[in-house]
Amino acid sequence: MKDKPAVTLLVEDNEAHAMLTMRALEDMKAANKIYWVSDGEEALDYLFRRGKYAGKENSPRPDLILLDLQLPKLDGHEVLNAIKKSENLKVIPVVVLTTSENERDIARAYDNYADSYLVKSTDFGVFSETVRELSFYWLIQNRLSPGRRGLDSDIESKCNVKNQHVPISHQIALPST
Amino acid sequence: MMKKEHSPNIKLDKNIIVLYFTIVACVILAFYAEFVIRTTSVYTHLFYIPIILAGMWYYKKAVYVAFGLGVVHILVTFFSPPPLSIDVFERAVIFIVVAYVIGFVSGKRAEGEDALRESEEKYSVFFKTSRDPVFITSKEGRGIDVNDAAVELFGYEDRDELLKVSVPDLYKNPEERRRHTQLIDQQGFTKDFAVNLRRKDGSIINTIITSVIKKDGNGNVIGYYETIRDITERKRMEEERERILKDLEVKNSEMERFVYTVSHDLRSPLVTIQGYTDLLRKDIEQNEAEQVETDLKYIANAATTMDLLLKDTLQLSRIGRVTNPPEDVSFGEIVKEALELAAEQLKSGGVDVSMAKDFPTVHVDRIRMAEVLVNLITNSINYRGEQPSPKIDIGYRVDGEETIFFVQDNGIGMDKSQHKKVFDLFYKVDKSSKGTGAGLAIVKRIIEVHGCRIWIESEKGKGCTICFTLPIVWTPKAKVSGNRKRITK
Repeated sequence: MKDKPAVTLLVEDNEAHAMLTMRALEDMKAANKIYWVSDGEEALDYLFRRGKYAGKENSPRPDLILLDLQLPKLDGHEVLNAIKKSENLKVIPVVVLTTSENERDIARAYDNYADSYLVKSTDFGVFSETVRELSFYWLIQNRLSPGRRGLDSDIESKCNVKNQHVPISHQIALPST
Repeated sequence: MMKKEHSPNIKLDKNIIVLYFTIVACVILAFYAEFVIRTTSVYTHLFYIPIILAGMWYYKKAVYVAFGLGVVHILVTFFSPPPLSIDVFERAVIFIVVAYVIGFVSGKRAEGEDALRESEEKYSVFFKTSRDPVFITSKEGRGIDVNDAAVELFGYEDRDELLKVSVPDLYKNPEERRRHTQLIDQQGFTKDFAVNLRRKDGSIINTIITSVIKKDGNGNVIGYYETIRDITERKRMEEERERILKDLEVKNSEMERFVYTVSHDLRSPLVTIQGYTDLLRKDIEQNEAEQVETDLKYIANAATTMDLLLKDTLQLSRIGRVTNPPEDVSFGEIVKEALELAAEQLKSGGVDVSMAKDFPTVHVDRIRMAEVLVNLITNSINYRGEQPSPKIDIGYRVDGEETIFFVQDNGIGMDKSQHKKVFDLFYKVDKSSKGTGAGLAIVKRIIEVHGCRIWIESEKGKGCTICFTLPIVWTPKAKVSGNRKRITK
């Protein structure tokens, strides 16, 4: 984390929302480089280094993926499925970031091994804080992989992540049983 | 009449002639034997023949015949040389007794037969007047007898015409007859055996047949009694119900998807507006003039988007609810209307349009159909890509029984994975393109309200063809493909 900045891939078709998310992440306590792609196909091109993303320098491997569900061409579920099916990519944490509170979407996302499901809040304060903390949590988890379970208490205090890691509020949808 | 007298009406005349003839023959024989050959009275044995015949045919009335013959016997012996003996009277009495016994016995038997006949008549009335078609068939598959209801069911002129048709040929699938009779042979009957039968005009009816086996005295199968029930109407109603249920299910899931899409898509600009309002406050505090500009731009755009989304949603919900009365109109007329409406766009896009020379006449909501075409033309213009000479061709093709209309372009086309998605409400293949992405959802809805379907034939980079069907009134006969006229440049 000290040597090179973390890379976040933001998959978001709505420009305004992409800008909002990026501004929320600006205040994160970690050096973070954000790459933004605006549809599902482009996201997979980036991740699998195809087309204009061929070559490592254009598409550094992300430490975290923020994924919208409603996307042109390939939707978020399909992208998520492709990521989690890939041996190489499946360890990258994926946070679903969407306006959909639909139970089917939530269930399907967790079925496809989404790491978190975050409903975009209309309250920007809540939105930015949740995005920030959740992103930071997963970035650290990823850095500690493959044993992603053990969270160092030192890091925990530094990054302001509490026992529950993120404030559980209505913005975070848990999988329905 | 025939019942009261126990006198069978058939062959009555012939019987009487035979009887009179034998009586007369016996009387002549009696005189001949007594007066010519002077023999003894053995001829009286022959008197039993008319007595037995009369007994069999006219029952106790045979006593009169016996009495008459007894008198003849007495008279004949009275005039002959040997004197009248007691034997003569004895014999006359025996005639009467024999006549009585024979008459009594055959009368009893006839009563039984009458009862049987009567019951047969009763059932024959039932057979003839039953509204359920009844069929009596031989084991070999010949029709033996049918009632009027069966004749009517199969749509034949009369009973004889129907009986000429072999039974397996009355089945939609003659092979099925074998299966059916096998089953009757096996269990002695079938109940509600479902079978599709063929009428004279070739139409198929759905029926259920209840049959019983018919055997002769030795227990051999000689045929079948079959009662047919026409369930075509019932089946049609069942299918209709199924169809309505399925329709409702589709509508329901459509509605669910609609609500889902609307709630998601309408929420999206709200997130933007709220988010940027917060950021705006922060940016004003920090005096970031440039950021403030950007924030305001996003807020304004989101509000506009929301307005458009709501308008399109309203428009979509109106289709099917608010309709113009459908009319018979040549599809070519509608194409011309649509081209006029889209003239500006076509001109600025530099699109070359061609259309078929004559079109089928369709039964549609004319205004909505023009809307469909304008939508499709606009899409073709918007997705023409880098095509140096963009083209749109509007035409139709006859595919079997279906007439398929199409709007074809040589634009960017789309991948197969998109063919269904593009009809989803607010779905856009390219985020940067104009509009809300409701256009094709509206088009699809209009086509579906007409009870027809729409689909896409396209490959990425190879242009796009939108195909749809419409209620057809009339199709021009000589359809020459490639008969195109150029409209605009």
